[in-house]
Amino acid sequence: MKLKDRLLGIIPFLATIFFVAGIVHIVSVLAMPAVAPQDAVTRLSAVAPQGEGVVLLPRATPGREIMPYEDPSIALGFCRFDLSRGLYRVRTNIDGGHFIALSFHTRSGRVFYATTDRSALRGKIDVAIVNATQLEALEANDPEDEPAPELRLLAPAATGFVLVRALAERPNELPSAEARVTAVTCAPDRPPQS
Amino acid sequence: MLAFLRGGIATLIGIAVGLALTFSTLERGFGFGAVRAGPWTAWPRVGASDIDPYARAVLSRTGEIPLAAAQGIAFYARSDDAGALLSGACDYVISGAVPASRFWTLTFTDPNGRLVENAAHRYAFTSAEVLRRADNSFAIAVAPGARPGNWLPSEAGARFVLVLKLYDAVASASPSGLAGATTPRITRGRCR
Repeated sequence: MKLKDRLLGIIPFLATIFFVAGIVHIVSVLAMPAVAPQDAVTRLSAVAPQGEGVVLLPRATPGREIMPYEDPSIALGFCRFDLSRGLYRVRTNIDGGHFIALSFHTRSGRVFYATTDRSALRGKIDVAIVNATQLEALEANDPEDEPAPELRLLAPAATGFVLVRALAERPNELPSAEARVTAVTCAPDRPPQS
Repeated sequence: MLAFLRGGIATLIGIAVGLALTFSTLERGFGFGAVRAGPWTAWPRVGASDIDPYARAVLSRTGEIPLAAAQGIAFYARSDDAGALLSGACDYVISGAVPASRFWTLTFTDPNGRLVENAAHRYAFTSAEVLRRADNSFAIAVAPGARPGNWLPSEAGARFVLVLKLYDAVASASPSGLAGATTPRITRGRCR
């Protein structure tokens, strides 16, 4: 009888452990993107702490990579956006057949849009990253019966970054791949006054 | 008083167990949504907007920025066709076909995704530069010592990872299309 009492007495103790462990596990997984000290944004910011234009990353060679699993055949660059300073435009022209890819990330790392040169329209990629207010302001100024001149992306967060990847099919083509990265123009833009 | 103390101890143990659980699951990689094809594994949802919280936590710890699903897909191999871990103590041949894509690259990294220095300064092959046979097939030798033809240097004695990145992959939009895709074989040769 005494043993049974002791066993019953330990149940709340174990239940507390399970309950707390479960909550701590879920909270720590969900909080990781916010607290991780070496996430992608931190690494990119270390390369260029300031600036709103495109930043070319150093070539991926042993010991000089910014991130794990970088592709040494890819020239990498990034732009960071902050919609509190106005909508953000990303533009580039596409020249025949060379792979260039843009991915749009929130600060916490989620991809909210991605494209490659293959889906470019009329030989260019022209994107405006906007929040809901900026989108309304843009649409209020749209001429009727005409498609929007650019692709408008409603960003799920006010800050984030755009990653640019250009492929060098052979090692000696890296300089021209890097030139295609730096040819991407990224800049904040005040919405037209209505 | 005793009940209060026991509650406190249980809470402390719970916190420790919860953190240990988080640490061990994140160390094991992306976990959910893995697609296997031969010795290769891909995590297509990691580059999609419906990425799960565990994969997000892993990415924020490693700092990796995965290829977005609309751009391509990365396959990782840590072992050969027979299931043995890849090691610089052995020679390997990578041969066969690559899933349909516009370009692909094959990169040699250490188990943490870092490039490894070698005398030839050769860290990767692209689909454009790989030498092919008359029937368009290819074979890449992965070995610490120089080989004729396509040679990707490995680090003698060290474990490594091969990363196959497909750019503008035909199947990357649909994970189901990736399962069972014809991926290159990794055949082990001589070991020292």
